[in-house]
Formats: sequence, C-alpha cells, structure tokens
Amino acid sequence: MAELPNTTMANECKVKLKSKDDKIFEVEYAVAMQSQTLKNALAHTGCTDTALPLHDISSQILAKVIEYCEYHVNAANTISEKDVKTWDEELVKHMDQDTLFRLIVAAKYLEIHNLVDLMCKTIADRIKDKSVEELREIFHVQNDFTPEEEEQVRRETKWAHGE
Amino acid sequence: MAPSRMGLNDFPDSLLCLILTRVPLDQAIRCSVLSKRWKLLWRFLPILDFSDDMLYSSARLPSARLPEIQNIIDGILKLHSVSLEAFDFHGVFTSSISSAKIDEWIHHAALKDVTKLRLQFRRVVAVPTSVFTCCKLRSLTLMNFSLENMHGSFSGFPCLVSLFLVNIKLNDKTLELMLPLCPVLRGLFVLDCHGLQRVKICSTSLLLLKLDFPPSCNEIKAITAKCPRLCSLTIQIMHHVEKMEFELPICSDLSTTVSRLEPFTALKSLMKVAFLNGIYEGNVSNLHQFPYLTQICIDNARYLARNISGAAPLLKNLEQAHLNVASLNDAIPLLAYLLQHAPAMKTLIVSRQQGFDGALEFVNMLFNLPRASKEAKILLSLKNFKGSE
Repeated sequence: MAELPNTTMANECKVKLKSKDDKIFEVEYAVAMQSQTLKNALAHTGCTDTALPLHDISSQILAKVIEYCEYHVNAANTISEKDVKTWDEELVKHMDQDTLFRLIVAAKYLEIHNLVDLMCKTIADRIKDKSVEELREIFHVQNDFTPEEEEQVRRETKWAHGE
Repeated sequence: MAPSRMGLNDFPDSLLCLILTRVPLDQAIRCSVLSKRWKLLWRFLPILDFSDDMLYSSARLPSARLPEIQNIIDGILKLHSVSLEAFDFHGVFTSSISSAKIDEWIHHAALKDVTKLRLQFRRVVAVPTSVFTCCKLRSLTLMNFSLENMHGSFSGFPCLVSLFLVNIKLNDKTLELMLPLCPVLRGLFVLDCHGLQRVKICSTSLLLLKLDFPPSCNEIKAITAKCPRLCSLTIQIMHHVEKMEFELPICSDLSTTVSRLEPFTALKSLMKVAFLNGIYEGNVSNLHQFPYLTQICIDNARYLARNISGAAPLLKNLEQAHLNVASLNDAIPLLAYLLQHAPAMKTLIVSRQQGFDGALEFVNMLFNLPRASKEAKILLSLKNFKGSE
C-alpha cells in the first residue's frame, strides 16, 4: 500500500532509471513508488531530471520489472484479483531460470514486495518435488561435501528423505 | 556483480530462506544435503509451518509413521536457530501428539520470540498454557479450542495486533478480560464461537471488529461494543438479540445480517453499509439518519417495503446502491425511493439471485420513475439477467 503522493509530484514527475548497460527508462511516479528503495531515494532527492543508476540491473531485467510495476499500478483498482493473478502466472510461466533469478535479485534490491513474493513462489514451485541430484543440476549448486560428510547429513535428516 | 550464469547459490542467505519458506518443510530440510552452505540454512527459516501439507509434501507418508512425527518435530525444533517469526501448527497429525509435548514446543517458540502463532488441533482441548507465555506475539490464530479460563499470571500480549478466535468455546468473562490485556489490538475476529451470552467489546485500540456467530447460536442476549477508534464493524447473527448497543463514533463501514436499523443509529459516521440479509419495512425511510452514507448494499432483499414513506429527508451523499433481489417486484419500491431521495446517485447495480427474463421492461420502468436530479447520469448495471447487455 503506497501513501498518496503529493498531487503535483504525482502528476508531473517522471522518474528516470539507468540500467547497468546505460539504457535510460522513464516511468511514472506512481510506478516508481512500487519500489520501496526508489521511494526512499526520491524522498531525499525530490523529483529530479538525473537518472537513478541501477548498477546491477540489466536493461532486459529492468524492462521486465517496469512491465510488472506498470501493470500492477493500473490494475490496483480496476482489475479483479483473479485476473491479476492470471497475469502474474503468465508472466513467469515460460521464464527461463536465468531471467527468473536475475529478476528476483532485482526485485529484492528494489524492494518491490509483491514481485519478490511472486518470484519466491515461482522458484519454490520449481524446487518442489525434485530430488537432490536434480536440484544440484538445475540450480548449478556445487557439491562440496566429502562422501562421508554427505552421508552424515543424510543420516541426520533421514526422515526428510523418505526413508 | 552478478555472474554470467546465475545459480541458486548466488543468492544471499536471506533470499534463500525466503524461498525455502514456501517449500514443504521436509523438502526444505532435504536441501541441507545440497552443499555445505545449505547444510544449516533451514535452521534460519523464519517460519516453521507444521501442517499436513507442509510437513509431508507428498502422500508418501503412511499413517503408521504418524507417531514418529513427534520425534521429528522435536529434532527440528532443537536444531532450529534462535529467532522464529511464525509457528503454524495444524492438521490431522496433531491428534497423535501429546498435549504436554505441544505445550513444550510452543514454549520453545515463545523463547524464540515468535511473533505469529497459528494453532488448530484435531480435537477440541483447552488452549495450551504456553500460548500465554508468547509475549512477543503480534498475531494469534486459535481454532478448535476451549478458552474458558485465563491463566492467573497472564500479563497480556503487549504487541498483539490481530486476534482470530475460530470455533472457540468461550465465555463472557474471558473475552472481556482478554481485551484490556491486548493494548494495541487492531483487529478482532470472533467466528463460529459458542458459550457467549453477553458480548462486551471495549477497546481503545481496535480498528476492525468481526463477530460471526454460527446459525445454531441462539444464546446471545446482548452485544455491546465501545471502541472509539473502530472503523469497520461486521456482525453476522441469525437470531434476534434483545439488546445491541454500539458506541463507535468513527465507524464508517458496517456489514450485517441484522435487518433493522435501530441498533446502529448511533453510528453517525457511517459511509458504507451492507445489509446481508435484507432490510425491514420502515427502516428504509430512516436511512437519512446516516448523514454521510455514500454506499449501500442490500443483499437477499426479501423484506423490502411495499409502501415506503415518501416524505423522508434526502439522502444527500448516497452515490452507489447495490441490490441483490429475488424478484423485480422486490426491487421497484426501493429503487423508486432511492431515485427520489438520492440526488447524488451515480451508480445503481441490480443483480438477481437466479437469472430471469424481463430486463428490458425493468429498465424501461426504472427510467420512468421520478428522479431527484434529472441532470445526474446514473450508471445502471444489471447482473444475472437473461438476455441483458
């Protein structure tokens, strides 16, 4: 829930964002307010023509973030919750893992809570019901246990492994 | 700087924990085998959700293993880290755990400064005493318990913001004593509870109150609420209550199954009213007692008046009306009244419980009714009418 911004600022302010690869994106004030990080930054600087640099976010990911925020700002009072949910699901349905991961990191940095939630749920759904080996492979986790160490951990939590 | 190909391992611990809380607990713990870094990660899960679908993610758990769960949960709690945000404990498996053990676990959660507690056991028992030791609670949900006595040394929940009591065997005294012990309580939900006779809700912090009594409940003799900050009131009760007194000076939102206006006439700040079980004759012409009323919703409109007095004062602020009717005849007298007495009317929604014909005649009839303000544009929306646009 965003606070009601000062009307003049809301109507006239356009927020400029600069991606990692120096691309400038211009968004409405209300859209930028979906991000707690941007909200705090703008509270200090006020409406400015200088673009806010986002060093770790590529233009591809930033575009997706903006797409999400713009939809949600417009949907706030006009679109049913069910339809919003469907839109969210469509957004992530065919997203490749790399994009998914980069998006959640960006969302966390920008503190866009409902996007972080959506991303967590999506990744959790992809983790669910996979075996340990599958998880290692899909998510590029390097196994640094020695065989003995791994055996010990398995023993400690053997009920979780369905034994 | 993010690497060229991102893996789960590149996330900070806090983000991984956030993701793991959405995965069934057994799978989250299974991840401890992924790598050294993951070994202890699950111990920092801020939420421990012990419920049927989170504890065992698939149907592979045979009922024979239920007794083992007690040891499993014991093990989990002992290994888990220092602080705990939420502890959720409900499901079929609760019937195989001893009360003493559950008490011990909740006490464990209390020591970890748990802020959100949700308990629902299979069988109705007294609320575990350890619940009253969780002094950092901000949200408490209790389902299927009996709460007839307060523990003598209970000093209250100083941080409690939301309290949900669902299917609880209560008594008047306990409820009355509980409220002052929760000084910052903002939301109180008493749903499907029994054992109450004279409900008394007094709280200076409460913003939202919902009282939903089961249809079988017929013992309530009085309901009084005195809450200077309350904004939203929901009262659902099927039988007639002799005495209902509400001292809620800033309450702007009312939703009720009571079909009369008298109990609520003191709510002068009402802006939005929903009568879920219709409204009796004679009451409609008293709607002007709510000078700020902008929105009215009448569901299940069976008792609508045939002869509503036309001489009542105007409903100056009424902008939106939503009627859910069984037949068109029910709707016309009320619509006629509203159109005559609501000069600010902008939106009129008429929906039908079951679809039926006659939309066109209805609309024609409607637009021939005298209107308070001929210039005003009224958006008419018909729902569930066959052949309507």
